[in-house]
Amino acid sequence: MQKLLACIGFIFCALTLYLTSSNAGMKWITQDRYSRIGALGADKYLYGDLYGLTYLSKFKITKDTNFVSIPAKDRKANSDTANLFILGDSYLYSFFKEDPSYYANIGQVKFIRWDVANPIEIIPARNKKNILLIESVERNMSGLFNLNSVKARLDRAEAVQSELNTRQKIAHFFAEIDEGIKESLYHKSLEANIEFTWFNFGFWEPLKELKGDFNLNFFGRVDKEVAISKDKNFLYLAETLNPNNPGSSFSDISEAKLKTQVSELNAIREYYKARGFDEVIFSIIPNPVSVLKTENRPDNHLIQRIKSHPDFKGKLIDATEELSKNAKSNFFTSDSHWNQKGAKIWLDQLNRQLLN
Amino acid sequence: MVFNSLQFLVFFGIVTSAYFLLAHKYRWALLLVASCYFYMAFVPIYLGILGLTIVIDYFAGIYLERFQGVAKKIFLGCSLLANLGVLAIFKYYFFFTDNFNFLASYFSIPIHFPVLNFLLPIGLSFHTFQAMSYTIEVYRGNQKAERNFGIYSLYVMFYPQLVAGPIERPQNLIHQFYEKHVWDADRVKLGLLQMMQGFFKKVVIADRLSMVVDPAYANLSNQSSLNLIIASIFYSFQIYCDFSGYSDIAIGASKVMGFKLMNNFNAPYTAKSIPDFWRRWHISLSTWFKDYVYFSLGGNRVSVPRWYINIMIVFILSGFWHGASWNFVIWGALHGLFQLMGLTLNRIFPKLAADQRKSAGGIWLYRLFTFLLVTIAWVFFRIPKFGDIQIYFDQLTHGSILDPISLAFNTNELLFSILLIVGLYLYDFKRDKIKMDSVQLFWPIISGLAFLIYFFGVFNLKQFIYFQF
Repeated sequence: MQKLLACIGFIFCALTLYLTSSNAGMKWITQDRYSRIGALGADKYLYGDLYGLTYLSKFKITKDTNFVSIPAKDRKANSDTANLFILGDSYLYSFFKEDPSYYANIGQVKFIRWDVANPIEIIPARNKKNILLIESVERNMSGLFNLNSVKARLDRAEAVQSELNTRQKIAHFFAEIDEGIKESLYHKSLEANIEFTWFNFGFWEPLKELKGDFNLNFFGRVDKEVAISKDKNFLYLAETLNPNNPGSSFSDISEAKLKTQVSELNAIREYYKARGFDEVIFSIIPNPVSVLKTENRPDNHLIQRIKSHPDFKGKLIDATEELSKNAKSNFFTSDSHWNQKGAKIWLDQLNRQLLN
Repeated sequence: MVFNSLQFLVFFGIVTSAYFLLAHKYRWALLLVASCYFYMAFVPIYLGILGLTIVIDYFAGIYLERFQGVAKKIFLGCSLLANLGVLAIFKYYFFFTDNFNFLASYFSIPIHFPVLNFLLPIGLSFHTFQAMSYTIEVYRGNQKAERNFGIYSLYVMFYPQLVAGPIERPQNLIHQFYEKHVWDADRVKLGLLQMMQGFFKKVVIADRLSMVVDPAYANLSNQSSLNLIIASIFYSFQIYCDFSGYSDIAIGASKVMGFKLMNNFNAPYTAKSIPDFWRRWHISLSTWFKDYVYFSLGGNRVSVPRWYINIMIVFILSGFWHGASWNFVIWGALHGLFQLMGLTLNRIFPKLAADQRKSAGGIWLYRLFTFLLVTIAWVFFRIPKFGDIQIYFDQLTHGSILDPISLAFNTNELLFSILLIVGLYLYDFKRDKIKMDSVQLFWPIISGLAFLIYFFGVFNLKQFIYFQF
């Protein structure tokens, strides 16, 4: 009996570790789970990523928030004149991926994600126009939109390393060994993967909602990463409301800070122009709260201030104004992203730029 | 790898079931590999540091047994030097150079040591002290030198107590690695129950209290007196539940596999005096200092002034063991001073002390006073900067105690936290009567605790406070 119990325990835990430690295993679990509906199906991102953090029954939206493609009728008939390199985040990747048919006059798209740690060197093609689009959501912008951060994603690792001094190189060397060992032994998202595998089932949902609703109604709190809008209709990432957070829509951005940010953008533009790109376009996606204006307090208008700054030399896609028209229809109530309609507004604006 | 993670549950399931599936002769190897895997989840490269001290102490142990006289002392010295050297470099180098450079600059001495701030290997002080106790015990002849390098390595690295104790003596642990532990359903259940209690203490009580404590201590200048009093009392229970929760999980996980680790806590806040508190709090460390430092200095078998000095030395060292920062030194010194004050008062008013201890009211007064002193000392433990300590006491003494505006906690959260603290205290107080480790009630207790942990737990993967030491 004891051997049987030990065998079952070992197989169950070892299988969990094996599957959750491999990308292929997680892909299989994820696809399988999301293909099912009901008790054995997944519930985590089905109703919005912020619902998946809070499990507040009120915010369980009925429509499917899986990021589906923009309808084919909205795609562009292309003349293959340029390559588009995008350094961006889930606001674009979840909707457009590397499909060139979304973009005007683009033959090939290469998408590099900010959250992929290893640098991917991008080399502009000689026979075509090369456009580099650097995009980030407002809340992450200050940490990402600087030359070092961009180079860390787009330049070869050696090129980045050559700028380090000897002490930094030694530290870098040991950190790489350490990281290498860690990566080979522990999957980076192991904890989240195990949680997904064990607890992301529809049958857990009533219990999760019970806890989520109880915490809100009795203790007055939700997951620390999430905040509820003043009008109680939207969930936001808490960091976008906290004025002490540099990525918040309500943080104080002084003129000096703004100037520094603008010079960073100019430096990025000049560096990549010198590396052979014909155009460098920036895009800052506004935090939902900057558009929805539910909090009744003035925000810092960061994107508009950068765009109109006299020192700013580049091109900036700013969809804030367009998104603000009938704003509530452009965002999900329980997701940190815009919806398909919001994404389409941004895309139209980019395409107008590409056609110019 | 932190205990309060799903990774740990998977790891524990694999290691424990493999332990019972494997033949006895391979079990130590399994535990050693598992312990390395467990440790490397933090900073893998630091396994090398641990490995270095293990090699030194292993050979030191063998040579300590082989030689006598001066040579024996030299080997002990080398072993202690290696262990303390690692501690000095990784834990105390920054503290010493920083303070030295400050003094040098103050007195205009043109010497400046380079300041290197190493990332502290997790649990360094714990496994270093465990390793030191091995060589000291071999030196004293209380423990035979371990010939099996793997077993010795496992003694230092045994994963349940590797990063935050209990700090085991070799006489208690090494022989257990040779013993064949068979599956005993009752023992397994008891181990799981103790683990579950540890999880409850950590994620339901400690991490919940930290939601009140952390913001208050992070923004001292905006707190009212009442807030600070609440935060300080809560911190006393947070650190208790955090650390004793870790110990419960460590002891329980070991128990499931058949290992018996020493008890590390015994209802410390029911203590009637500071010496009583130290017999109940972090027992493995206080007995370590008693055995290897206090007695070596002569203990109480010396003149009264020297005895007092011995007490102060032990407590200051104990503070310094916790962290390379003045606030820990002050925390240790305060406990030393409280001890001395108690001893002195008992000597001056022996009858009064004896009378008080006889009455129920007197006993509770002692308990309350002891808790108050311990809580005051925790303030120094919790706040690393002198400037912030000053702000704390300024706010405490000058702020309005009844300022309701600044009571920034949700009332229900506050009441629930108080309820948990009262429950914990009653449980500690009546531990013998409340049977939470009953094998017969295993299923109701464990499923009840599991539900409470899920429903009231705060899951933020917050590290255990004592990991930093």
